[in-house]
Amino acid sequence: MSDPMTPGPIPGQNASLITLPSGPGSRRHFLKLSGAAAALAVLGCSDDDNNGNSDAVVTLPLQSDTDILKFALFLELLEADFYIKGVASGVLSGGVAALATSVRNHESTHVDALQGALGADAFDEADVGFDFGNTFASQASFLAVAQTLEETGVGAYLGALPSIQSKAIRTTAGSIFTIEARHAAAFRAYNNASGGPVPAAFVAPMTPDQVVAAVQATGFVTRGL
Amino acid sequence: MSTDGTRIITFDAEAVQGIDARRRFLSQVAMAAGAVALAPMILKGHGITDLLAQGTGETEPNLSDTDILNYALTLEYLEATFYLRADSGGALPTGATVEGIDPDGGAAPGSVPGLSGVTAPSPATFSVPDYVRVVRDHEITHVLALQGALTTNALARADFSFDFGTAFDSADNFLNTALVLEDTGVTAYLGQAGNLDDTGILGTAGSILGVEAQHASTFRLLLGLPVTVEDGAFDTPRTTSEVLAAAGPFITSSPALPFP
Repeated sequence: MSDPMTPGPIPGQNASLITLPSGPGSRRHFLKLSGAAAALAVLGCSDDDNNGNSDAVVTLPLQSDTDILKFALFLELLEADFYIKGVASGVLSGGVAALATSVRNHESTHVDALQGALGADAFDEADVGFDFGNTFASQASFLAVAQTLEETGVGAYLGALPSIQSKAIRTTAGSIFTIEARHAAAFRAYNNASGGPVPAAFVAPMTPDQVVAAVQATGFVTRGL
Repeated sequence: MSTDGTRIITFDAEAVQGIDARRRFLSQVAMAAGAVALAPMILKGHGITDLLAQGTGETEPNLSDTDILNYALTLEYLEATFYLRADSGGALPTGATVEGIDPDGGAAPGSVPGLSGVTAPSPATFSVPDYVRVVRDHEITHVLALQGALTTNALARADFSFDFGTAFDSADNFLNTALVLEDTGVTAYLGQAGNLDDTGILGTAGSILGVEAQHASTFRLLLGLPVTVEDGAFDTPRTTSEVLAAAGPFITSSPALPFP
């Protein structure tokens, strides 16, 4: 496990990334995870048809695997930013700090993977904005928000899984979904959530509308939704 | 590297050709166990390329939805039996009986020495024995749900026998065995995520998968481990033969299985 006092490098900011030459359609990172990109290339690209919000990076309803992956990317960018700032805040300690550092790395890796898969359809940190207010004033408030974000991620991935047309993408999304579920249980444990770490025999899916409503309710999003 | 991962999976596929389901399950355990031991090292750090390679279904024939549900039921039988032998107290979920979940468990201990002395890591305060009973009831609920979905096609619990060795001798043995079962369950469900045809079944299987992942995470927390395998950002889908190799040591007899 990572030493909580010395957070490791953040995936996505290391040498595993290759930046393609600039040019139309190649502005994004290209990962060595080329299998994902290849599988997704067959999906084709669709230009953003925004939902009235000029800076929105996701559009509802989700009408394709690409739309679903973009929605996932938005959520992962939100989570990654939250944990980068949470770990850097210095208010976390012990097991919570170690967990937050691991989760930060996982979410950043998910961002990388989704950007690599989306290719030219991807967006990045510059296209979204988050303000977490006083969340990092204490470990307790960090834990409460972490639980909310992870549980929203779990519901979002589960809700989307049956709609994913590509079986390969479905499996990959599933392999991210279970990581979010692991995070959620751990934060529930540290947050001493009512019902314990695993409150039910079945995880509940969320519709994209429910996910957007939950994210909007946090008040954290300043740009991108 | 992914080429090594492919070679191992191909090896498994070739090894099972021409042998009937039951014999290949029982005879393959020892050989495949070696492949499973290597897989985490091979897959570590290779992320999505390997996941996609395994998720395409190229490594084994696609199973029918019924076969996949029976595969899931087999693993849920195993888990439910394991936890019931660790804690036979309290009421079981409605519709379940001790005999139905564990018909050959007459000598099961029903408790684990030292488990009540295990504490959750600070600042968590949940009761570990209470948590174990909750997990037991989740697994029993999964059994009932899968039996309900399969109706007359469900494999019968009475046709399986399970043996968990020294798992109930100490809290440490118990927690480590629980971890293996839960992490294996996650890889098993993930391995079939691309093979399920019915989106309704897919949603239900996904909602069980998420709970297995949550169980695994909590056992990892109790053992002082990272909550994900090798602290990785992705869980790994596994083939039926890989999963049965990991679970095989606990299965002393089984009916003819329609997989791998």
